[in-house]
Amino acid sequence: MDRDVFQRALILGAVTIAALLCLLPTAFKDNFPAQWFTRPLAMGLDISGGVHLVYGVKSKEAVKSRLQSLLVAVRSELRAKKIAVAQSAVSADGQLEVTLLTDAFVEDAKSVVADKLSDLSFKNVDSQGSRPKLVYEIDPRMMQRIELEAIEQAVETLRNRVDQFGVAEPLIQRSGEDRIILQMPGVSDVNAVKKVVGSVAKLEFRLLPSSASPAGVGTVTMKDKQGGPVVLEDQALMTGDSVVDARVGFDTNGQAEVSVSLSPLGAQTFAKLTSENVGRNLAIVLDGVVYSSPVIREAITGGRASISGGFTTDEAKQLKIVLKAGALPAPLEVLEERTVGPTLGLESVKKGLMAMAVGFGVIALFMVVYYAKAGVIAVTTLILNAVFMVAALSLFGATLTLPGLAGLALTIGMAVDSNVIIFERIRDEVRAGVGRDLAVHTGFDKAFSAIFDANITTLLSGMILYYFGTGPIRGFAVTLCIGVVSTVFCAVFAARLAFDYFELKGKRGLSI
Amino acid sequence: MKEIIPRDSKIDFMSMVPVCMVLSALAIIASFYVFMSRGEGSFGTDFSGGHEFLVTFQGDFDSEKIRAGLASQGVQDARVQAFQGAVKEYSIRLLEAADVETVRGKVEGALKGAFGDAATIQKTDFVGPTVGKELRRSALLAVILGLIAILIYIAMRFEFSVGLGSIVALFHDVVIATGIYIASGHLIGMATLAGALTIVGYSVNDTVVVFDRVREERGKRKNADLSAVISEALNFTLSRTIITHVLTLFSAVALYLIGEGDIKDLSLYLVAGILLGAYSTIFVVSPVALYWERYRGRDSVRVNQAPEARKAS
Repeated sequence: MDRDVFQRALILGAVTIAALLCLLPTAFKDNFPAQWFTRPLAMGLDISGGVHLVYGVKSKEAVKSRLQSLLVAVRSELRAKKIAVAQSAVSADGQLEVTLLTDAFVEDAKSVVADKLSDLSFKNVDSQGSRPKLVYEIDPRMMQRIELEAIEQAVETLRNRVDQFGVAEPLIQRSGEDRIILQMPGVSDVNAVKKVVGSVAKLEFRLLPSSASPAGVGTVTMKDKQGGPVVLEDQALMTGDSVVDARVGFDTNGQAEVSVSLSPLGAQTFAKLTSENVGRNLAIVLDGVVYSSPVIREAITGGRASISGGFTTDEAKQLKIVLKAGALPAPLEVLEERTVGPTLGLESVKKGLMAMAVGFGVIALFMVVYYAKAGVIAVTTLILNAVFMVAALSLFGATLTLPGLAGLALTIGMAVDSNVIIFERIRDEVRAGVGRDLAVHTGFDKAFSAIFDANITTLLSGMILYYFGTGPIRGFAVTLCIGVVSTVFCAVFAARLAFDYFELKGKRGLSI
Repeated sequence: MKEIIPRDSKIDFMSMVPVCMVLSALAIIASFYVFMSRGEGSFGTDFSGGHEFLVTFQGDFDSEKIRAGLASQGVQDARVQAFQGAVKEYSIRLLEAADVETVRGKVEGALKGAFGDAATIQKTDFVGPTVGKELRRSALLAVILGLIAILIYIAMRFEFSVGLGSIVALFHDVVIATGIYIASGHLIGMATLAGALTIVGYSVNDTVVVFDRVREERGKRKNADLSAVISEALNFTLSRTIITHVLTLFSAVALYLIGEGDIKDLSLYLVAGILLGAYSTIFVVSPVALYWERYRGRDSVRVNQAPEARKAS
């Protein structure tokens, strides 16, 4: 056999075998070992059904809550130095305002804050009112860092929570500045997902105010589960950060409760706060809602606490997950939500595949009838092309979506076109009286520039769409780029190899 | 050899250009008129934001009945659209700004109240208003940059005039196809976008194939009249043009007849796009390129050579 044809046949054979190896997991699905280098081709949510959510992280809220905790710190520092604070607040534009009772302590107060809280920079003393008001602001770079950390931490927390949910192949991805894309295939109860994934889960322990409250501690009004007002101290004595484990249990009345284990440091803090406040009510607050406020009977030193408050078993389970995975640093906002029922996706895929099969059948029939043996070669390369494209998709771990299918259809169309261009060119030569073998050579050579330019143009726009596009546009672009490479390979390289092979075997006048 | 097109066709395409230009201009104006008169209403949930529910109904229902049923349960201003298929599907759209739970609960309740168990929600979409606008903007940006890249590449490999012609043709194809699409009661969404991109792909492909032939012929006969060369190239490539387009059209029609939902919508768009792509290469790219070269006084000057063909092995 001619060495050149043999070498090219080797290349084609190697690529085909590699493609088939890529496709093994897709063909055998779950029966295939997971250690294999490719995974089964993933179907997009528009095909397989599931939940698609785009969350926006309200990162400004993270800054606000950071300011709130700084405020608490400032106040307790001042209280420790016996400097009376008349009023303190975080202003709407993100400044910290501390109003002192008298002018006498302004300098003392300033030095206390400067010593202890380097995050804050002193702005000015506003003495318009009768009392001096110290204004502090937070460094803008610091603010940016808090926002950035909040977004990163939110992604991490979402990942933890989704892991707890136990869904196969979820996708959690940061997108743009402050967005998180969450996709969970096969999940249909979007409300359960949102409850577990999207709730902030900020757990706080706060005391109810009493005559024993130290001076300077203000109050806030929060809601209980029924929506009624509850007045609490404005200082959270402990937060959910120290929770290391949570589990669902039942109290003596058979009500579901969640018991939490605290870290050693958390256990110490908890022991201290309970021993100092025996006899007072300790409220357990989750996301601003007071779940219960039992009386502290004795110091709790075991590092365990339980949260009850009349929830259902499902609610308790959800609470367990969010407490274990940790609180979100900032609230999330649903910007986009899509759910596709599993039967709908399956139905439309079946119909779509059938339509594609019919379309392909018509094309194949025409090619074989019109171009005879050359048509058989064309159909074979088209099938190879489809195999290569799907193999490349699973190799790159791409997800097949409806726009992706459109991209595949476009490239198959262009592949058919490449064959037609070449064959018509060969026919031109045959008609001009050139011998068959030479006609094949000239036809391929002359058709090449058209096929090359057409595909490069497509590749170029595909790459730009991938780079600048989002979501579905990207899916389209990926299949387009893969398709272009595969089409040129099949229509030019593989088809030509077949022609050359038949020429070698001496079957003169391969019908076209 | 079976043949479809008689081989020595000598159709004088260029003489038909004036009539076609009037037709194209009218079609573009009509498309813009359709688009303008619908305004924001031409965009689906993907690009305008809002809530959309895809619901299947057991039994005999129509859009008006469903709309009235929802209204009787307190869900006003719902837009109901029917999708033909084996099972009857209806899309219910609400432009309310309220959050997903509230709206979903409301719609679920209203469907249950009005139709009992006959209605099942298959798919819900919520797109926030800012996200919808952003998706629209990023899609537009990607497409415009893609077009510029195509213009540059074609100008480099062929002539600036051909690049210019193909951009005008892409605009022509996408505007008219979208006009037809909107006029037939469809909304612009992600599926439309995928369709528009596919149309662009086919249209450029077509232009490249024909002008590759123009490039080749001009290389051979350096002093020939450009108009004559283009006309010849169009005739040379006519058999390929017809075979390719009939075949792709078959596939698109199969998708339209068998497919459902997004796929059905997409294929309607593709049918229009495939026909327009073939038309525009002949009647838009060719005259634009020709007139531009005439305007520059270069219509009988040689053009770039075809690239060296891959050497035969």
